[in-house]
Amino acid sequence: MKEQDSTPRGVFPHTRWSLVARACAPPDQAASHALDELLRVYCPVLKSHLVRHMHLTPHRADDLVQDFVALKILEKNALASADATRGRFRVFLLKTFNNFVVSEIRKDRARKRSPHNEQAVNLDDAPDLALADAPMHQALDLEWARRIMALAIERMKNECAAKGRNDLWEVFSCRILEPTLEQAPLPSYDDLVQRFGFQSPTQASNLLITAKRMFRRALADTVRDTVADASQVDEEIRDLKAILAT
Amino acid sequence: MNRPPDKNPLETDPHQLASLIADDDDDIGERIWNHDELAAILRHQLTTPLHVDLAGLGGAAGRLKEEAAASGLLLKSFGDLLQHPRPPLGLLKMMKDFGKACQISPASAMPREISSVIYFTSIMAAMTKRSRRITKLSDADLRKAVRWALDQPWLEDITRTIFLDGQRFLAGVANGNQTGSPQSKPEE
Repeated sequence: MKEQDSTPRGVFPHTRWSLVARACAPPDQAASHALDELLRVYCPVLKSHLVRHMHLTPHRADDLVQDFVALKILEKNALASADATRGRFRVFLLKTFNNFVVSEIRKDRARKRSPHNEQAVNLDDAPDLALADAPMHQALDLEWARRIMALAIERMKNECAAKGRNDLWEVFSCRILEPTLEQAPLPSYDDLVQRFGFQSPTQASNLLITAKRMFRRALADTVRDTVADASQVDEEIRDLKAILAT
Repeated sequence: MNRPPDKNPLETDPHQLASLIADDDDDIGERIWNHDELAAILRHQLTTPLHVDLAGLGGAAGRLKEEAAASGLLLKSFGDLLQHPRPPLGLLKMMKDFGKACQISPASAMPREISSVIYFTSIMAAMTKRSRRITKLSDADLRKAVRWALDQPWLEDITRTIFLDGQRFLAGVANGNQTGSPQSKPEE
């Protein structure tokens, strides 16, 4: 499947290969692009987790994430170890990252204690290891879930723009998204009729359902890009729901 | 293009984000509208031109134009049809079919309550204004449906009048004051 480089950001052909599978393939332009896309999903998740839950400074968080990418992903090709038969890519990646962070923080501590270390380590940058040792899965999972939702929303917005379906995006945004994200007042049925010029309740209902279905597809496509096997999509979405509902 | 919401999903309460994907695929059409919007939806349906919703009923477009033109109802609304002194039976049957289709179609997002009103109003209008039965439902079932409809606070005047007339008509039948005319045989 040929990549469509001119595809608007966030809009992906339905038949594209899994990003994970492609990123793990022998290095070529497609593999590099796939890796970039995967990192676009996960790097903000990893950084956000370090800042929010481990209370690292954004600067230190950036360093750790970049070191992880450089040392584990690029240099040691950790993704090649991801085996779809042994579990989902997300779980593998987050666990690998967790182990890396714990290791780095331990090194920080060791350097601080070393009599040869002339450079004082800022204790703010070496949080209590109890936090790092404690299961990070829940916090990391939540960051992942938020990121996936954000990407799905972006994807839908781009798809509506690409298809000239401004009406779909507007009705989804004003009736569903804004009340959810911003606690904006729910526009009334009469408001919607006036704004969109619906000739009948059937038209109004159909547009809103189409918009909801489009978002569901955008979400599935976003998740599909992050799993090694398309058969894992439904399970990932079930996890996503469970994580957000906890 | 509408501006994206100011609030970042990364900052939103996760339970609120969860509500965006709470529906399963099978019931994505459920809960599109809230209960307190039913009055507005029914009002809108009654002002909807007939051709907007009825022309899509399997080959009905030609019939619709013919029936509507004959009774001066061309380009008129559902409400106009129900208020007509002698609404064409063909149009009432199409209205009934439309209501039924909305009720049974999994793809329809019309609130069930609204499609029920559309369905039963057309039946009662045929009964009270044309002395014709266009349903196989029993009088007992129709009385139950009428009672249900009249109990709904969001029912508006046009349909409420039809149901009140229908209630009186059915009471008369029950009391033996109305005899079944040949034209009262079930149409379908």
